[in-house]
Amino acid sequence: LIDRPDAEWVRGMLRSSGLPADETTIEALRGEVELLRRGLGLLREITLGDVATADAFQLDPDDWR
Amino acid sequence: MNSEEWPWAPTPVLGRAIARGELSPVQLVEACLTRITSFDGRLHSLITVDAAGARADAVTAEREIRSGGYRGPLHGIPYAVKDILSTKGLRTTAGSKILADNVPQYDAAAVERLRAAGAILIGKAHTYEFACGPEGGHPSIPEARNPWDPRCIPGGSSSGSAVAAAAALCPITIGTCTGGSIRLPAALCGVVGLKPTYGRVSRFGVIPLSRSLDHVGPIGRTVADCAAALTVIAGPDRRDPTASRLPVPDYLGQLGGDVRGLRVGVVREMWTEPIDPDVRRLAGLAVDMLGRLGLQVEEVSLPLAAAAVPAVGIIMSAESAQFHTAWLRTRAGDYGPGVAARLIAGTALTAPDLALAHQVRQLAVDQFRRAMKGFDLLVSPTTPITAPRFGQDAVGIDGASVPWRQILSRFTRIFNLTGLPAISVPCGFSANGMPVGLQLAARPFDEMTLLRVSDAYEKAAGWPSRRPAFGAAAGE
Repeated sequence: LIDRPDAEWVRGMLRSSGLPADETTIEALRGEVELLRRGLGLLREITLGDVATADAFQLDPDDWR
Repeated sequence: MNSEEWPWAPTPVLGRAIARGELSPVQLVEACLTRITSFDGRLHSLITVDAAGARADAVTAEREIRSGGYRGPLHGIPYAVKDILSTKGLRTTAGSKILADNVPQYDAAAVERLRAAGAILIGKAHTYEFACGPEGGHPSIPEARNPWDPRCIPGGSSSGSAVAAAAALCPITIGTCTGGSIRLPAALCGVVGLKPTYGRVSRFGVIPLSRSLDHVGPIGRTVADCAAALTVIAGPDRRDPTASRLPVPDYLGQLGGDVRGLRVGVVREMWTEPIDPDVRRLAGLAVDMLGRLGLQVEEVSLPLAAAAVPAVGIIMSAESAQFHTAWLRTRAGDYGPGVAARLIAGTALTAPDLALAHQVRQLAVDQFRRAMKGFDLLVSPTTPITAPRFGQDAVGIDGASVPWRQILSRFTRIFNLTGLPAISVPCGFSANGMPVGLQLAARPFDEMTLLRVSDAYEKAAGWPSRRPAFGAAAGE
């Protein structure tokens, strides 16, 4: 979805949230979606390798000494 | 010291004066309320002022202290908390229309601890709506203004906390931080802001923005103010599963001492263009001073620092959309327009998008952990610019027009992503008189090193002696 910020999708989101589908709101939403889309693009360029992602984010100070 | 000067004094000075009976909490609360009455009509740092509650608590504190029941350095000290921390019986709006009449039945953990230490809640500080970003409040709530130039934004989302501290409306304030919301306003308003390690301070009772990135921390005019507050608000809490059980040092009591020989890494990727030349120069001078204080300064490369901006953006958007789902269905029209768009956009993210951001997060943590085997601290400017003016969409840097909203938090987000403790301390003033902040970060739960080095720098540089023209003198 985030890769397709087309007008129909944007209007659909606004309809389901009850917000007015005026040009200002549509542009604001399109801008936010575009920011996220660009961010995802940057993250996808990073080589992840074999990352072990913890189920819960925790920091153990002993690991850092 | 006369009553007009007390609100400018650091917390330890006030605490000692109260303990010795040279200053009464009633006098101090009245001095702060006088400043709030004089200045906050224009600064708008506080959404709610609890004058009656503060006066009653001050009388109680005075009675307790006189009868030998002195509780410690915060007994009788006034404070304000960002209006997304719940306060029992006192309106907690989150800077929103949706929660305009919300009166919690309980205190946030940080507020509970401050009350137990005898500190006096004087008001609820302005926040951007639901803490959703570094600027842009709900249109129904007056914008907080920067005391160094009220035409400029204070930064946020802990906007009111930084303004109240900078204008000496109270000695200590509490903010929250998801991508820089403590350090950004601290830097733009010329005060000290500390984002502790993830898990150091319980988030119980805080209206969440992004649960895996949210932190609670202090803002004050001096490092000692933050040390005093952190000593009280840190600690375990069964109601927040992320709250650490590690013992809490006496951060205030252990300030001072030798900082020579500590190793500081200047993070190459956090000094990259675009940076305002004044900011680069002043932050560079501050790093030079760290060297003169005896710290070993070296450059270090941490390429994933740059990945924090999008990774935090994705995680924050997904997690905040999740929290706001019900209100987006039923009360979307009650959000400010920018916040509604931001939250709705977050609903478009997919589960794989969020998983990707968390994987990048783990990579960043691993990279920083490896780097910090060789460094005690990392350093950068807190922000690449000084405070822009209200209504300004771009700032000029080296002849180029730069949209500031896209760059303001690019040095702060990495420490929310990695959870490392980070502080912003004032490091000078630009040619147009606006404050600049230096950011230091340390290993997890090593706030003590962060505070000691910041304190040594602050004492050497002497920035707290500068006062904003707006609010420097009573009656101005």
